[in-house]
Amino acid sequence: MIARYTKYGALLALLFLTVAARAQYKPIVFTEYTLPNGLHVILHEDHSAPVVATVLHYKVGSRDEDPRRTGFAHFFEHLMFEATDKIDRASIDKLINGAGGQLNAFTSQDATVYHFVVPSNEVRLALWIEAQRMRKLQVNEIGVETQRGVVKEERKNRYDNAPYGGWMEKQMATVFAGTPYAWTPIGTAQHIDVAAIPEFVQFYTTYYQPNNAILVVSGDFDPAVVRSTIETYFGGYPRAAEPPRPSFTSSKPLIGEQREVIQDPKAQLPALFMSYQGVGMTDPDMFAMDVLTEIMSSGESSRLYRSIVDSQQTAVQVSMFNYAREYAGSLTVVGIAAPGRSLDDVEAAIDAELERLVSGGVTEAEVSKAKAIIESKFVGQRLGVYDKALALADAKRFMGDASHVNTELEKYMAVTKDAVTKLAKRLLSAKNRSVLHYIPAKG
Amino acid sequence: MTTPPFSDAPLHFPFVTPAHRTLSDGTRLHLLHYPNDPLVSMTIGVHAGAMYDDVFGETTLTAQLLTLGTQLRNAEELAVDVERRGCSLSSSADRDAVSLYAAGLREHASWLAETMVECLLRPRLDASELDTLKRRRLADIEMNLSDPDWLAAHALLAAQYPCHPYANPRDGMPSTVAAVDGDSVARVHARLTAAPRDIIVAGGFDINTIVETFERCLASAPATAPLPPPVAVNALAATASVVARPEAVQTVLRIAMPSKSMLHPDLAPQNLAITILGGYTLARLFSVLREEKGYTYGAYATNEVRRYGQSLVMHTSVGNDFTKDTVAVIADQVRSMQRFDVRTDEIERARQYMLGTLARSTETPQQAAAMAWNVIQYGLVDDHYARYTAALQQVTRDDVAAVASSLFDAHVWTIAAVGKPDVIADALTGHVSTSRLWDPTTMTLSPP
Repeated sequence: MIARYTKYGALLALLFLTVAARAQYKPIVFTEYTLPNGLHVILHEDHSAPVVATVLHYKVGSRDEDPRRTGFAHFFEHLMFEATDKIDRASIDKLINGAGGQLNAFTSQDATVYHFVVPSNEVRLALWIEAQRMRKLQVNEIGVETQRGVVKEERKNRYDNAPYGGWMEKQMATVFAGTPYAWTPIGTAQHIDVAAIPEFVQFYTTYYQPNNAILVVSGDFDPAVVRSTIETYFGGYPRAAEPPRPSFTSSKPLIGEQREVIQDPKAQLPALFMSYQGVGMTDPDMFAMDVLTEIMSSGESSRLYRSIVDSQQTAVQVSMFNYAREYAGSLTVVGIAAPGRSLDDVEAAIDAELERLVSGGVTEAEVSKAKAIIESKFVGQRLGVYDKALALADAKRFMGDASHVNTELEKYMAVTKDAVTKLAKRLLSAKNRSVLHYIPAKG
Repeated sequence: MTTPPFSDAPLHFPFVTPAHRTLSDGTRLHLLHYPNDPLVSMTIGVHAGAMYDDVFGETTLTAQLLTLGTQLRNAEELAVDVERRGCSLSSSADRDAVSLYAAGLREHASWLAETMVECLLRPRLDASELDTLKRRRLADIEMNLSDPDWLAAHALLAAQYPCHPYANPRDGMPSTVAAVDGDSVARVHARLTAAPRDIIVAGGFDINTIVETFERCLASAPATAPLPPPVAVNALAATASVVARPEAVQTVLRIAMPSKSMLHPDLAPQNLAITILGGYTLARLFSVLREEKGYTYGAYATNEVRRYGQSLVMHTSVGNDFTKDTVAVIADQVRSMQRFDVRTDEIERARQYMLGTLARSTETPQQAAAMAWNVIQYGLVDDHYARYTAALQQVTRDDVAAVASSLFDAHVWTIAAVGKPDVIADALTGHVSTSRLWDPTTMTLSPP
């Protein structure tokens, strides 16, 4: 009876913590509209600091590439910093940095996203540059040749010269075999080398169009000025033909284990990368998926850490994450062996934890703890104007509704213990997975 | 619109000055209050970092033990208590200080404050947790030995700070980590509880409650006198510290020259000069090495500041075929900066970049807390960033040129290079007078 009371007492305390926290999340207030040419615009005002973020999200990623021309989307991320009709070569950096701003871009399988964070008095400059390169980019030999060199060095830096550098390429090729997610955005250097200028021009013409983009402006600005600026700079571009979309319903089921051992001269410790088919961003199980990975590997009280790193000391690092793309995901467990322990030990320890998860499910307390962690992270990730702009663009693109940013937390809080357990059984019951063993190879 | 729509509208910089309280034990409390913020973060900074190690790695290990259980809760219970509230709690050491850091939703502010003090004053210092940490540390060291950037950073420190505690391995070496035991951990903990400390609280919290909580929790442990500073040393000029990686496809370069401290009146023109050279993506190093030549993914220069030393450090990673020309390009750029062969628009762009960076650093309480820690760490005045911003706006070309003539000198630079030995030897010929090998396993330089 006492034990029962204590258990309920603890549960009530947890519930109280959760409710109190959720009351503090301030929804992101925004307005949105679509220009006649199809450019979707989202505006969010935040006057707490003299800063404005712009995010221009193009609906083109590596999944849209011709498999014989991989790396194009990422290559364009670089090329978009070259010349336009009114901007000299390599001077976009100069314009933004010279105005006190910061700029960058990234490419995923689903999207290419460009972002500026500028002092609030330079918001018009940021929009002018984005409008310029949306339709006025000069795709020519000198720009292409320069960026070929830069992308090759990026590849060396991130893949060829880094320990375990190739694991993601191998995993994607297996887990997403037969789909446009089977290659990574960095692509194959040879494809970029042999591509001719007209191919780059065609790619630009197809995807860099107002009706294939979402523009978000977030921060300290006057909405009337920004609306009229957007109309002036972007409004004159005509709507283009809808770009072709690769057919993608679901990944081909992964049957059985596909194993590979890689001798890696850059690695010092053996590492294991084990991937299952996971959950995509638009899957209703996405929220349960995040709760599951929090339970398994977030923090020092998580299952994998407690068991494999702390108690058994089989590994120095274990993590589990779902790499979610729009239509599919890969659920990966990474383990780095402790000195003197083998990857077979690490794999056995991880398998034991996965089997315990599948057979016993998760507990109410674990789900409550995971939700508390998610809640704190959620609030923390909605503070800066750039983070909010990115979240709004993602919600519009992948959930079809920008207001998803304000209902997402409720969906996490609604996840049940049974939903997490059911998902774990669905994904992890059978050993349908890719397993990579990286072994240090001296010399 | 045919030209970029630049603005000349003035920016307002909302730097927040902390409120200060001194507790009865001597602890200084710095409060950055944002009444509407849903989050709170706290840092306890203890001015007794890894440079005071008797056994290399002992302070880092002790710092990590602080959050692995207390006399009231073991490591697992503490982790569960923290994580079920959605909070985070961590501890670490750098060469100058040991820090405990906690963050969470604002209603947990008092609980976090109590928990942090519990960790600092009454850690469990559990022997089995120490053993686990040591095993993990040995694995981390193994991992670091495969990271060319880590190797370059440490090879450079060895040449920058010869016979100085900054060159010592903060995280230890395999032999010293093995030697850390319960006695050394207890000794370091005694040093930490006695050393001066500062606490920064930033975000949403109730001021009276947080002051009262820290006062109540810390009253029993007064801080005593500060630890002595290390003896200053000069970097090994015109010297290369080389790490041989015969299998490397790139060379990692880190090149240092002495710079001025955060307290120096020429800080603003100096930092402007460094920004022109390599502070951002339109600076000279990035423009030439990446945009013009396509040699690298990035090339930068920064002013690396520590409590008792600072240097201008340039860094890049380039393919083996480009290493020789990269070193030559960097040398040319350093000479050009020394002559101050700099266009006015380069100065203005760098100035605007720095001002914009300052504006962007005022967004969150956590950014304000980082600035407050710099003010504490380097002994600056409370309104340092407001003054620095004003100075930056007023700096003239002559001011920058005067600083640049003494700052940039390729004859006194110190180079760390990680990569293929023959490629490095060829690239450094004529750029250094002495080349020494740095051994990652002993973390020592070979004799000249």
